[in-house]
Amino acid sequence: MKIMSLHQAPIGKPHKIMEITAGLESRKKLLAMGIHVGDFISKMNHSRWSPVLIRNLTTHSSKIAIGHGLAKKIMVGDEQL
Amino acid sequence: MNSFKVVLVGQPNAGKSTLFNVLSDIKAATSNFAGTSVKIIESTIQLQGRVFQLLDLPGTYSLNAVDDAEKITQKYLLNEKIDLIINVVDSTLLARSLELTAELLELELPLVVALNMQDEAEKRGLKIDPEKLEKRLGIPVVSTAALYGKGVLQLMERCLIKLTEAPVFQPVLPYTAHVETLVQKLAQALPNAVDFGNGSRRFYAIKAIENPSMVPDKIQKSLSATIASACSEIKDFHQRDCFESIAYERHHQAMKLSEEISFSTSRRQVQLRDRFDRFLLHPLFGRFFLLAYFLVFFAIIFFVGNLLNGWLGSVLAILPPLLLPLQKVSGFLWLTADGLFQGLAGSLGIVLPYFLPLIFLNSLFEDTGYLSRIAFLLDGLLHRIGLHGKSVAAFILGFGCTAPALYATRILENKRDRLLSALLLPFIPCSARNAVIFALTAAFAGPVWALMIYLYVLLVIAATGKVISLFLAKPGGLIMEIPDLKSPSWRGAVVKTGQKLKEFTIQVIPLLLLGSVAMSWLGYLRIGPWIDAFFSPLLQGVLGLPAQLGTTLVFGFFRKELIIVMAGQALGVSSLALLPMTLSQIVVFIVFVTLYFPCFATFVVMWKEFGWKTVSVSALLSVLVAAVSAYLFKLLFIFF
Repeated sequence: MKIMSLHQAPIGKPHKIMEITAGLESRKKLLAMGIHVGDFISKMNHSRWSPVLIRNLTTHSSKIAIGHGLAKKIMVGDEQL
Repeated sequence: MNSFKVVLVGQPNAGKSTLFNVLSDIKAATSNFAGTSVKIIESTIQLQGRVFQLLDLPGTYSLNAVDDAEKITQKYLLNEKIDLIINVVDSTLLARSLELTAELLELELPLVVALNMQDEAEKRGLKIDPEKLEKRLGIPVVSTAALYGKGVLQLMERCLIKLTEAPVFQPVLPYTAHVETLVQKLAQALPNAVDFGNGSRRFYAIKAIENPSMVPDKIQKSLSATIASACSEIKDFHQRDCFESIAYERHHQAMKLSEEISFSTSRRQVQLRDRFDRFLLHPLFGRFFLLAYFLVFFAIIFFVGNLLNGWLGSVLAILPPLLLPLQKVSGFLWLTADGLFQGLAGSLGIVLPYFLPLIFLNSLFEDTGYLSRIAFLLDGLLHRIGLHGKSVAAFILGFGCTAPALYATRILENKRDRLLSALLLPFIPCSARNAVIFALTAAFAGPVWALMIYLYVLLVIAATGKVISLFLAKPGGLIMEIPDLKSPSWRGAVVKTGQKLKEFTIQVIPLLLLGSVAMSWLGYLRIGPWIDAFFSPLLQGVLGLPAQLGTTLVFGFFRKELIIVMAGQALGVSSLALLPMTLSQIVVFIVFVTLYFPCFATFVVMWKEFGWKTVSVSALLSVLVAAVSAYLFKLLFIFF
């Protein structure tokens, strides 16, 4: 399995969150919004000019926008669903 | 007979405010931007002869508050006397919403669940069984569709039963064996003498592990060894932070529960909306659409405003000749009556025409979720001036009124972002200043000048933001929910516009009349010239404007609308179009007025939310920026 940051991950494919290396406050906020290690997410866009847009496939969440800085600290793997 | 205090609690955008609106006559500002209700809103309703005191608490993802709006809810739930909590659950986000439900159960206060938007969940392929949920949780669960008022009466009936029957045992959701044992041990060890407020012993035992900052110091001190050992045990066992361990446990409780009570069917009816959403969020097309949206928005306000302005103006023109006989009776009386008329003509003929289309369009699109898309699209741009997309909600609200926009900054997680947004907000032209811009450009300069002034204001905000952020730390990272799109509701927009119009008539028009009369008296008592003389070095000397406008600026501090209502009076003409000013003077005046000083309401709210230092900085900053900007425009006219 290949591990990469959410920032680098290709769009459209399901990815499993392996690790979140951000600070406690950001981790708290992510948890509150329903983003957990182990969840499958799908990245929906890739643009320098907008934040990263993801959808949580495990919890069927609404879309969540994540800044690029934070997206670099969310490690995902291309494990199959 | 005593009343019941019932609070609505739910995650942002779960439909709390919509439910609250249905339940009461007070209309809270609802909008499809996660976290727009940032204040506690209250209303009293009567049902089956019983009085309910209903409170809408700001949306919160969990009871571990991250931003100021969430802190308000957390504090209220833990400290105030509450008879019952209605937990508004967004069915489309069932698993995540149930995490909050699980946490609320731990408070051990009477709880009723409103399973909202179930119809929407079904469209998305999630079929939920409310009866099963009721059985599993042991508390009343009522299916509601707040938007259509469905299930709302039934909800209140179940609440009434819950409130009047003997207290029933409410089960809590158990954690996995290891954590559960630790929690129970800790709950027993908690001292008896301490007043816990609303939370149960179990609640505080869990929080001692999860989020010690919520536990009273006394307990923390007396039990520090027990808490520390529980935490290190959890850390070793789960290989995770204590906070995260509990959050994951709760997540699993909620996931398990949601799997038990729901099943997936095929998605239908949402493909078209999803496709439109993809277009709205597209880096290129989305931004084009946004630009077009703003242009159309302002064009509508400008042209509809002008239309209403001309029409109402001609109706109001009937009045002044009727006042003339008074002039012979008493000069003072006539001046008073004339002041009253000028105030009336100003508020109905100038301010209202531009206010009305603005608030209507705002109300129409507020609920659609487009606001969060704007935030998403502008995030990159806002980063350049030291902010991020989440501030957009406050800025857009600022086009209506600065005071509520200042409250809306509560959804920003860190102080730095809140402070910077607050300093920039007074520069956004509110509905009063929009009226000044539109009415004066319509009379003298045409829509191109209005557009130029708006572009300039945006430039000022960008430059000021950039400069201030040089002195502040780097902005925090963005995490923002983008709720699903909803179609605009014409009915909702009409109702909300009616509400705002009522507020305008009751609260604003009397002030405008009063101000206008005061202006007449100042003229009669010959006090005005003194005020004008005070401001004339800046107004006349630097900016080349008529000195008589000085008094209007002083009154503008109370209501910015007064500036335009009084301008004619100050210069002794009967309508704006007759103002003895050149194009350059008009533009310089508009620019100055748009930026010059926070109004009284803004002043008070900013003081309350941010302290006197911020208000002083804001006041100084705006005077400086306004003077420099107006002078630049004057130079522009001289050289081009």
